Amino acid sequence: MITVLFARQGQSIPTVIQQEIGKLSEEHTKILAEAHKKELDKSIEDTRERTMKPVGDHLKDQIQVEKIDKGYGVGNISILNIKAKWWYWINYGKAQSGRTIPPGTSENPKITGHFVPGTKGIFTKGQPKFSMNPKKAIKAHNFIEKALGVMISKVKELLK
Amino acid sequence: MILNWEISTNIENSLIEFLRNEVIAHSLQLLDCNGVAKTVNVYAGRELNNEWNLPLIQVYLDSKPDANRLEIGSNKRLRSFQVIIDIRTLLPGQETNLGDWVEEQINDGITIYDYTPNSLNPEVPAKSILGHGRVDFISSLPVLGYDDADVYDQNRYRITAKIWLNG
Repeated sequence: MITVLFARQGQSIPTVIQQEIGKLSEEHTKILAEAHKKELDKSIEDTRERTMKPVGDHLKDQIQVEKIDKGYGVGNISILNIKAKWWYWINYGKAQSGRTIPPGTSENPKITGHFVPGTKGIFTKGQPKFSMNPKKAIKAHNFIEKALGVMISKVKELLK
Repeated sequence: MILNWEISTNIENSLIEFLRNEVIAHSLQLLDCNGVAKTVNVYAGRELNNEWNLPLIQVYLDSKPDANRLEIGSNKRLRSFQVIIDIRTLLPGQETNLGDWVEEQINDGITIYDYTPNSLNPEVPAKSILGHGRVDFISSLPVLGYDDADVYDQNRYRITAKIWLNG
């Protein structure tokens, strides 16, 4: 029989084990959170309908791995709700206000601009200014669910 | 060659057909605000259609997250097909109950059919059994509602599930 003894001076074995397991769990949640962030980035890119805007806040940049009380989290909702409010709209196909069709010039005269020519051109405010009144609802992109679906299969592989 | 339905559409349609059959078998209905019983409808498609009637179960294939080889050197794969099931009801609370019901029905998996077009009766395509699709639930939760939400979004529940099929 092989007996392994380990001790840390002044600490009981259960305490040491608890500390070691705690560290390991934290390391595991970090690995998973980082992999999850990559999958979220990928699913946002995969479902992108228009070119990424050259300036301003981007959804991907607002989703970050963050240290929380007992490990790591991905995507702080409070930050997303301020810096990338459209996360909800893109994922579920409706805004947090409850609407599904974006506002247009008829509703808010300040909304004028033009679409950048080319495929997947983005709407840009400023000259030349044309009115724009969307008629189609935003489709649900389900980027959260897509990333989750991949991550569930990846967990075993990542924690080998 | 005219490409007919492939595996993704077959799985999507098999799930829709299964749910429709279960709704009929259970004579499933929900009450509206006047106490009138309304039959639950099952619709296909990612985009919401304003002509759809509540209460409803909206089903569509969203992604294919897994395609692992069954063994080294084999091109046979263990595939998963991720479906979104959005449940929309007339009254608050009903969406969660209907979500539970859907989960219960599909928990043991569903029969997956291979559909082929039927020119004589396009609404009823010919079908043969392709296999049994196992179901894993990925997420199951209400989608937050807001006061001004569109009627279709006021009471909404979303189930994300993977359907697995060997081959």
